[in-house]
Amino acid sequence: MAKQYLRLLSKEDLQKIHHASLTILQNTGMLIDHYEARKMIRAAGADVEDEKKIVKFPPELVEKCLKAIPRRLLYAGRNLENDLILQADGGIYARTASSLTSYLDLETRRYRRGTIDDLNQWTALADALPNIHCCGTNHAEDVPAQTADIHATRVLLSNQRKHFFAASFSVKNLKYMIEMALTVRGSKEAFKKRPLFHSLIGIISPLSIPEDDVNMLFLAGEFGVPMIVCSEPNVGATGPITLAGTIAQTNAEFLGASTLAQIIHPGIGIPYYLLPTVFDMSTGRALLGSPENALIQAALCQLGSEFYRLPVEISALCADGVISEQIIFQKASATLMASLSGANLLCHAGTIDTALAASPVHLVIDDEIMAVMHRMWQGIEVNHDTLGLDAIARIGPLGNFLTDPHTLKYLRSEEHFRPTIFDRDSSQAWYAKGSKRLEQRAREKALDILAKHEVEPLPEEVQRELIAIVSKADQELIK
Amino acid sequence: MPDLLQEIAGKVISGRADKNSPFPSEKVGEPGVKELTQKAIKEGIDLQEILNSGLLAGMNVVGARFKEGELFIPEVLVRGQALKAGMDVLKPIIVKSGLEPLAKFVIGTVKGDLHDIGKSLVSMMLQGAGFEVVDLGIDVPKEKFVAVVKQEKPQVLGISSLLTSTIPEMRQVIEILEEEGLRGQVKVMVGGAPVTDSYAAQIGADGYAPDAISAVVKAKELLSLLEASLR
Repeated sequence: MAKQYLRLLSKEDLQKIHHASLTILQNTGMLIDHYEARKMIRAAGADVEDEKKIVKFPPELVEKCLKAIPRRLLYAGRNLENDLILQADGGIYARTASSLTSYLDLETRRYRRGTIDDLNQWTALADALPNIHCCGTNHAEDVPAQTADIHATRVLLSNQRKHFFAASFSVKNLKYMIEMALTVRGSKEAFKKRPLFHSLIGIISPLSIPEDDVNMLFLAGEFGVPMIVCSEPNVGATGPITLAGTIAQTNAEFLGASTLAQIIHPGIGIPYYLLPTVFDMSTGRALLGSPENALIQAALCQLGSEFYRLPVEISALCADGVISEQIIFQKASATLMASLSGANLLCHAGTIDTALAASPVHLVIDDEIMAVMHRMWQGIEVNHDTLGLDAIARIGPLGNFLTDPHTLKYLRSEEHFRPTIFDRDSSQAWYAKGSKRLEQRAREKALDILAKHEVEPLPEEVQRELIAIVSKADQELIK
Repeated sequence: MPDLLQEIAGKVISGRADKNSPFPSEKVGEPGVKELTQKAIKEGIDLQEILNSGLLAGMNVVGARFKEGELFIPEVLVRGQALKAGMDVLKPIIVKSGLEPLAKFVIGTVKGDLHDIGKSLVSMMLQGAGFEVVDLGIDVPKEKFVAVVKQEKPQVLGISSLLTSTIPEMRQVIEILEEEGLRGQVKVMVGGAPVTDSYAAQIGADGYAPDAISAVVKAKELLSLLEASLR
């Protein structure tokens, strides 16, 4: 059943955007700072101006490569029960972010730079929370800065079992991250079949792909690491000020980068993921929680899901600032729009302050928000049994349904969401239980999980090997 | 104060650079800051007066309106361009006549980092505030920063980094400045989304600003500190 509940744009609008993106790629093209890659694209039929590093894509080439992107994406966990399969209409899931530099301390509530201990706590929490399906590597301040991505990857491999997202600093670093993941999987073939993590190539908006990011694409494809294309135009600064204009540009950046990817490695997994930000004209800050962000995200979800039929990832669990009430509102409204517009993976769970910081309290709250979203996304199942005609006939006027078999049958089904931290008590009961606000309830749940939750450790020899790879990276990469 | 200077200030405030400028649309064809500055020089008005009571007086009003939330960044930048149109006329003559030179600011994004917009915004804002800005662009090696500091002798050096992976480069630039004995002559400012006040202090920078507007305020503050220390 197609789950495109919300259609912000008409079919005609979607067509117009697609054509605008093709026009951008054909007339303006993209700067691709990689000679070898340009040679391959030229051979595939693109118009290349080497002295300017510009590639102009014919629409037929883009359309052809678009067809080659896998429609089903496996984000494999350590074990089968943690696997995540992404495809259009295929459900809604959530992941945390990557490269967050700060941490909102769970106990002291202090906002500070993140550490490896924090990442241990963060991953344990993400592993335990049922509505968080994929985790990301945060930045730790207490390991060498040049290899912090590699250190974080070791934590993600060891301390949690879900598929994870790891941004790498460079292709050199990505090599070690892949080596560690192969060690956990046992072989290259096993990893290729069930990739434990995915990574990203960065776009510098407008319309430019750096050399190192193309190198990452070459390497990732060889090992079957799925890649997201991180196109982050800043509405009004590095993208047009109009929402339609930025959507057309960011979509062009996705199409250009994914065309490049399919030429380099046909069949490489690329979800439809884009992250436009909104330039705050009063301060120059990039915003992620404005209504314009939510509108752009909903439009992109529809474009990716309804128009391209690709698995869609979108960072709707983003918010600006550190005020909880505002954060929860921004996340919930954007996530609802995205979920109803075709999103599959809602990204940036647990982030605050425009995706600069990780907050364990908000990870717990986002887990609950995602449970609500999942319920909303499921919608209302209408069939003979759910219409309850037999039960209504049995009960008749003036009876009640409490002990009817129909009630008992659905009582514990997914028909009803039940909160873990959202409060449903009467005011009297709430006061009697200590009048705890949402943040406090979330904090207590987080501490409770951390006290009890255990993740099965990797075999000792694997752990030793991972540590050895990290030390090797430290020796070889730190100058 | 001569009316002409007030008129120059007014043109800066409305953002009219020269007679060919398309902005503001209802004033197309009218002369701008450039023509009026030329006229003021021809009339023999004191150069320092043109600068202070004309150009910078206008920009001060722009700054105040921005602070009040009346103007947005693109509107300030357009007014900065208008100011620059006047500066371009005035500067060669000021330099020739041996008057006090303007403060110089060297800025760039560190090696390995290709992010341009934040740094460019700071650069444009500083120019708008009357600084002479040498923008080294993106992906700037630490050696280049140091070489340019030696050559250009700026009062302030601004280093930008957006990526968690390139932040350490900022510390290394400061370290080389120390080694080369240049640290005392230049104030160092750092910026970029993952940078914080405490991080700036930790790596030995003199200042940090969270956005382009506070960067200008910070730069002026550092400038007066520098002047005080050299006095």
